[in-house]
Amino acid sequence: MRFMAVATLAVAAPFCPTLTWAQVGPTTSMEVTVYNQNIGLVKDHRTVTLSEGRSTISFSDVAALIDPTSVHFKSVTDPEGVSILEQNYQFDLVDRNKLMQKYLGRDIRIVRYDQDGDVADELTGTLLGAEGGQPGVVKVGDEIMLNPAGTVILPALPEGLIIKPTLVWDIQADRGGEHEIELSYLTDGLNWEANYVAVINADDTQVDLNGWVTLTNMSGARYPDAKLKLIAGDVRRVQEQPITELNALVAMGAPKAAANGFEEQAFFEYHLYTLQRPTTVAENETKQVSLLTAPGVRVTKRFIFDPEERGRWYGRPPDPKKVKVKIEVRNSEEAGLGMPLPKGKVRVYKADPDGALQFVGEDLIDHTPRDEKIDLYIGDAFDIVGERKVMEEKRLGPRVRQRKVEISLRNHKENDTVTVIAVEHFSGDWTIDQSSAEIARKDARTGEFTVTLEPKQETTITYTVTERW
Amino acid sequence: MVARIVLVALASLLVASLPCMGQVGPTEALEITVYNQNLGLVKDHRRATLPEGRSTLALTDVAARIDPTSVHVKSVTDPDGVSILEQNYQFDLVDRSKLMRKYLGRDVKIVRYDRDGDVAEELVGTVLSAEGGVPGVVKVGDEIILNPQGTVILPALPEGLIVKPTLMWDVQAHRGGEHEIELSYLTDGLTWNADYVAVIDADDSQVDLNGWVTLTNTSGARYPDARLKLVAGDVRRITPPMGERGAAGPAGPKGDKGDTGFGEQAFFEYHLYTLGRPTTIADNETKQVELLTAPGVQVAKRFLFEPEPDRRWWYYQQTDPTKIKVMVEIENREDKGLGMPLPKGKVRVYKADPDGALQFVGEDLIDHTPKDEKIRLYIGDAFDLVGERRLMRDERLSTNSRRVQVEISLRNHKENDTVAITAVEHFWRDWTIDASSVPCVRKDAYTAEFTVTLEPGQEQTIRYTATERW
Repeated sequence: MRFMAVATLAVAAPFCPTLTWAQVGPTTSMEVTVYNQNIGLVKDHRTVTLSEGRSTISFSDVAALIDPTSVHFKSVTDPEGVSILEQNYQFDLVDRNKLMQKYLGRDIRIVRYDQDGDVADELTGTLLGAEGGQPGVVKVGDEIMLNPAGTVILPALPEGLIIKPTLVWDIQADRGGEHEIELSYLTDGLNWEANYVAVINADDTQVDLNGWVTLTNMSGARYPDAKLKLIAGDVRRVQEQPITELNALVAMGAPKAAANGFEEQAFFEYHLYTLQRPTTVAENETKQVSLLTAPGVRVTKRFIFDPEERGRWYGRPPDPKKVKVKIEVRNSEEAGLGMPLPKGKVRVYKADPDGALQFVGEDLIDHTPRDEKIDLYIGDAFDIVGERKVMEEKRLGPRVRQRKVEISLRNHKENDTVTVIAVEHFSGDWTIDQSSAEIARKDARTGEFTVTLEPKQETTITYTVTERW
Repeated sequence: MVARIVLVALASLLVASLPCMGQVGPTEALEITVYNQNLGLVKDHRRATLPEGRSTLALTDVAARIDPTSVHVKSVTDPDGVSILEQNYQFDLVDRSKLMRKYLGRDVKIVRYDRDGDVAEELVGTVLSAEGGVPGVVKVGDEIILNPQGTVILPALPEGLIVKPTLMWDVQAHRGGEHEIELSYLTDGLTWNADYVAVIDADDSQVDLNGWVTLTNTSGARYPDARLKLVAGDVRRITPPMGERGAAGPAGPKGDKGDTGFGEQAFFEYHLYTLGRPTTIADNETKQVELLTAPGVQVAKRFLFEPEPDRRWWYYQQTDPTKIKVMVEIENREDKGLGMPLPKGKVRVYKADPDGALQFVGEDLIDHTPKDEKIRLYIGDAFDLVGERRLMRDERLSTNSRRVQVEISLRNHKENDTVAITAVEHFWRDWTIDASSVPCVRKDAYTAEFTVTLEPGQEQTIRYTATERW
């Protein structure tokens, strides 16, 4: 009789759909694609033993900044045969606050220790109120204790709380056995940008350009022996992510492009760079790998006096007397360049009279395709001074005014002749009535004077303009 | 037999694939270039032993404020033969928070000590939650203990955490052996500016100027016997510099115009100063070295009354409705006794009192000033001179014009000195002076100046009428 009951039970068991739990094995191979927008796409290949039919797989090796809604799981071994019924991201982590909340109305134990470390007092009571993970109100017998001192001991861990965030999949597999799976997800905390070093030659006409990739990993996970790809371009993300901008300064001139470096190709509307050898990206690490080398790129140095520029400035308006030093580079093959340049910081260095390389200024560039122009504003000239004065302003009518402007440019260099471009901004419809120098009209709002100054020379441009609006 | 060969082959393969470590020695020579923008370029010459082929170099001797992404290493011995495949800066430092997080779900030991220091209780449990580096929730057996008291003891240091920030290079070398390498990097925390002391003479017509370099090192590292260079100029940095610290300048000694240790040369669009002797810069130190000496520089003292600010940028100016500003003007020209590039910095003016003791009489900042430009120092307000401006009438003539009548009263209460005071008036847009008791000088579209000379005890009032259109 008893035997029959047991047998029935044994026979009935296989017909109940049981959920079996499978474990995900360690990483067999990894691919990481990093973007400029502080995101990375991680493809983690692993092996897992699946049972035929329905099973549950859990994975708690999850990176801290993973975006759980971007996770995809697929079987490489049998893509059609394995389907995901459900995917869950559990993040009900244990913490003191939650524990206390779950114990409201239940009994807890509070132990006080004395100076010798022995138990001084032990009490058991019902938790009535908890704030900030501390038992605020405890009922012991008939009395109510407020904020009882001592260590709180709970009889058991409430159901549902887990220690680390866990991904859980509910899977249906046609075939059981070992499957190679690909787990892919997006994560924050992986970012890259380009850093360039330009060493300018003695007469400021050429630079040796070196580009480096600076890859930063603060995603809370390590990526060993990963196949690394980078996407350069303004890939749009819908959620605003704060970009932790590390002070990414540049390495000084790599001697040559390293073997097994990056290969570039156009991809969709962006550019894809693939590193030709696997690399390990550790947690909390900044990695730099050479991206490109371009010696002997032709550049033009220009001096710009633009006291009224409504441009970018940090904290203070531009000094009205400073003349800006700009380095112009045309990203063309005949200038010695002609390759897509991902955005990043360009640092310029120059050899001083002793031959030692010194830093002379930096600027940022945006993603620059072939044949576009790069304009680097790297500093202000010490020995060139500009001064702009509005001498007269006359109202000629309700919407007409006339101004007389004087621009004084002074070259205090010992030996160098310089050409300074003075930029003037106008509003409305403007005409130059008189001018001591020729003005080039750049657009509806801008005019430029070009002045060449010998060493120690000073020139004053005077012009009168009528503006209508 | 076959098995043994296979084993040997496997073993050699294993050995060959282990990354070799090179060794980096201590610093042999140092070169430092300091900028005005809280930036320093450090070149550290060391010796390293590199094996042929691929190897890894590690350096933990890294200063606190070094910019890790600016580090570059190159072999001076064989520059083309050594290439850097990768450079890593690891900063996953050990700290309590990280340790506790790596122990989530693992067993830890917690020991309570009594007053005598003996072990009172020892328990082993699983960490379920850790907040702020403290095990918040620990499961012992079936029970859950919240915030257990005692010292936490972990069985081992988790992989990957390091003690100090480490720089690591993945290097490929054609030739093995000893290489002389140059390690260069940019760091925050090194900055300089000039501090000048100007001692003005008895009749305020000449100053003896001394310039000092004030170099501040808060970069977290020491630079012994370094070859020092300074760059003066507005070198552009993308990240704005952190607050620049001022330092007290000494009441400098007088000297002849001559060798102060710094050689100056024009460099790119800036000026480069090289110190002719090596110097040691300690961490958290402010160092001052003499930069230039110029005795007998001609100056002009002027009095300015500017009660109303220039309306275009009023928030940048200081004005006082009754005070007369004391300005000291210097032309940076050779025929005035100066004529050299002056890096930006603070100028402190001193004067000998009737007893002969030097007293401080005011200071101002100057910007990078090239030769042949003018310096204007506003160093204080005159005690014995008073100005008063009154708007007597303000008549609206039409929707866009008005007529104003202004009275400016200037009073000289000095005992013995005759002074010339310039009153500066600012206008908006299109203006004409209709009538004025004192000739007016139009400086530009928005500024007019009136100058009066006052004997001791004299008072004079300027009256003018102006029409403004906008």
